[in-house]
Amino acid sequence: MTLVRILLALSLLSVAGCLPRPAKLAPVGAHEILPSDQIEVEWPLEWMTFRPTENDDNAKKEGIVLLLSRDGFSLQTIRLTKQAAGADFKYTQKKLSTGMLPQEVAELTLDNIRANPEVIDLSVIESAPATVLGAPGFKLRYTYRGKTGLTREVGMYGCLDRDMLVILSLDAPRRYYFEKDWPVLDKVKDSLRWQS
Amino acid sequence: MVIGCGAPPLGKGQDKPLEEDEQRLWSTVAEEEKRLDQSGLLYGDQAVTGYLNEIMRRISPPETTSGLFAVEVLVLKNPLLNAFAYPNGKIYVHTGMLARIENEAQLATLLGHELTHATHRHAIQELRGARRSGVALGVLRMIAIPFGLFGLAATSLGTIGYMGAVTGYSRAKEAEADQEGFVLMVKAGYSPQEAPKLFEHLKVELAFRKVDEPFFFGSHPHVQERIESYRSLLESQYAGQGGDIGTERYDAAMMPLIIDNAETDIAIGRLSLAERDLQRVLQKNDDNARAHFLLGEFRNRKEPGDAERRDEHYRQAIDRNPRMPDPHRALGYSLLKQGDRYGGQAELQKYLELAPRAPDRAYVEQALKESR
Repeated sequence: MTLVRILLALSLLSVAGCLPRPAKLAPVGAHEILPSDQIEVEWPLEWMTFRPTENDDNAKKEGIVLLLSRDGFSLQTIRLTKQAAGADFKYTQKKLSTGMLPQEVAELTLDNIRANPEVIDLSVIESAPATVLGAPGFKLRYTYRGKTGLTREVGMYGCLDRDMLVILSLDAPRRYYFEKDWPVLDKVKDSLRWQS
Repeated sequence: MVIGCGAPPLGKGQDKPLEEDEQRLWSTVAEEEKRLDQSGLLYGDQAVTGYLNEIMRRISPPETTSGLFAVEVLVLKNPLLNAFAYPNGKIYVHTGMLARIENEAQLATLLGHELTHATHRHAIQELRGARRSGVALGVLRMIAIPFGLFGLAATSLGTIGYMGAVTGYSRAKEAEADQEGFVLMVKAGYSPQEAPKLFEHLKVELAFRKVDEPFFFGSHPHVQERIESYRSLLESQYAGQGGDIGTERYDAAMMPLIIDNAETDIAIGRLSLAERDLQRVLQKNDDNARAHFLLGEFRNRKEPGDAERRDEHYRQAIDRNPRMPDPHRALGYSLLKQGDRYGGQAELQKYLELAPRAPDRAYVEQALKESR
């Protein structure tokens, strides 16, 4: 069963264009602290993880550090990204600047999502303050319709700290999966910390 | 008139049944249309689509209203300059294209052009003549790259429509669509002088957006060539001829769409384009609260330090529509940043009063608390 899940994840990632080169996919059941790019995160039991290699340009552009899923990446994906404050966003041409307030960072993050033409019928449910990595950050919740027509929900925590934009998000079908996995996202968020 | 591959124009009211390959094409088109219609990418304002279809009826020859055709114009939420026709008469126009057009006569030029692609069966001729259905998608993907994600998203919607829109038909077919479309708009009583202006605007727009002309027009005759071809038609056949222009009607119908498109441009970060469109709206109607608010948002992003000009737009938005929540929030934050505690608090409280279920309520409450 585990092997099937891993193969499924690999095939999904290949289709999505995320896996043009070897990358690390940890098996289901792993549970350890991941030292990664100065950030430590503890992921839940029974979730598989995918870490792109350092020369994965696609992942680098989006700043992907880690992807997590339990049942397959189309059913739920927790994504940890980290980008320099001055880096280009994938969709919007706008830029972050150090010293932005958390809600300004949240608004810019939302603009980047709004500018993604594949995100249809975006509806913001919540935009609120949150503490992330011990710093003042933001929490976003929104729904959108994907290309398949399915309504999905995204929960997101983020902060601009140490000149880095760090975002942790859960993207899942709104029915069943999102509510089920929302507490997991909270746990992962609480485990985030800078290494030094 | 250039009709190749034994395919006479459709829509004469006595259309013969389609041949097998064309039936296949139409059935592919039906699937693409279904996908498009369910994609959520359609711009749903019925007043806008109703207006566009009214203009389409005005320019359509009577014979195209019967037979196999079902001419219909729909709008896609996409800020790129584009429009395309399916072989069965369904025409899709991007919001970005409509935001650039200045009047009804220019719109009629565009619709006449696209309608001609459908009536003159350009899609099946291209597929038969060049056997390029497989090549088209590859070319399409390559050409979509300069347009960023909106271009790439567009290509995923369907091959046939975008074969016409992006890779383009042969020069002869584009020239035919220009010429026949021109005749349709003139026959409908529009001023022929406006036709070349559509392409002149597109040329300016391409320069403004720094998009290379050949990419957008694919194998179309280059914009300048098309402008010159229109000019020569004007000089030879329609010198000095005037007609209906319909600027007021176009503005009245399209202002909400232009504002929506400007909002997308602000999100994408194409601030100059958004500013230009919002200024255009306000030049026509200075009472538009949403345009004032968005112009304030534009200022906030473009020059965050220029609070005076930004706040002026927020205040004007509030003046035009005091019940609109967003300008109160924006002004509230701005005033707090400038140290106007009471003014900022009053505006934020007004925002919460007008939008009690606002998704960002927690931020506003936090700002109120911290400012006390």
